[in-house]
Amino acid sequence: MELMITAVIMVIVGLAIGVVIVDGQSSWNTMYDRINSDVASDGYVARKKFDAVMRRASRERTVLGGEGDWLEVYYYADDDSVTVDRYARFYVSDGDLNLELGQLEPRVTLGVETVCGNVSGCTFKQAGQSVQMILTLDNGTQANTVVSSAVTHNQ
Amino acid sequence: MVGQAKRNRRRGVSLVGTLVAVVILLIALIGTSSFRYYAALDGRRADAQTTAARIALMLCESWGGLNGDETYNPVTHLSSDLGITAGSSTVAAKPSDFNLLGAYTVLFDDDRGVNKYMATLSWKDLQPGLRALNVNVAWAQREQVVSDSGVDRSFSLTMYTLTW
Repeated sequence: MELMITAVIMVIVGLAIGVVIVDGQSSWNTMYDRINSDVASDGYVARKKFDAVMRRASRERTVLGGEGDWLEVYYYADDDSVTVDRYARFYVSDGDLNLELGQLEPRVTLGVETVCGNVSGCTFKQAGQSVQMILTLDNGTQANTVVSSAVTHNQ
Repeated sequence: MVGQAKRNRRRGVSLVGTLVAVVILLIALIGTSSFRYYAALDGRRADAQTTAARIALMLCESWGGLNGDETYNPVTHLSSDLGITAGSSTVAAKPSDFNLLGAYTVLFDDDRGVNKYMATLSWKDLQPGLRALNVNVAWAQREQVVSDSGVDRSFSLTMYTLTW
């Protein structure tokens, strides 16, 4: 009789602890994915890159695609440049957010780098001297929408 | 016969011994789950603070892009892409000597609930042509869907812009 009572008590306690452990594990997995998944890190990288390029860009001219699907800004190559002589273009291709850098007059592409993958949507909007990037990332199991705004700083 | 019976008698494990082992095991399991619980909790707190900082930066940059316009309305500019609405009260405090632009509520719906952030925008002219823009974002760390009175954390950001 005592053995049965003890066993029942242990089963109840074990189940309660099991529920707590499973819930903790679930929360742990969710938080780990939110912080370390490729969607989360891609969002950080895209935002940082967008901010860096926009801060370097000239406020004189910003070109957006007809539906806001690409963005082109212009900047100085270095301190010796007296005119804006470089361009940077954000666009999406095959699920990647790409950044094309090149020179103006003559227009020559100097390089294309992939900023991040898992892009399911990207829209650029302009409001005054700031540009907003609405980037939606989706790896099939997790989605993340990054809304970023940055001001062009240079003359 | 007696010798054979003694040989068949084996030393077993008592119930007390079993319970002691189970208790030790449970302590180890509870310790592990406790560690993970607090790790996940701290992760959520850090995530909330990061989100608040992002909201503040985004609002500052968006407002600064319009040269700190006194008629700037983030709902007009951002509501199509962000769950932002006009707030009913200034939950997040503004600097005392700044002029209030408005209070707004930003809702983020993640897979574990809705997180609510309250933003207060204010400005101050420092000298002709130079304006300070302040965005203070407040949120409740202990709840997901919060009442305004549950706010216990805030993040404040000030940027400067030319008004011409």
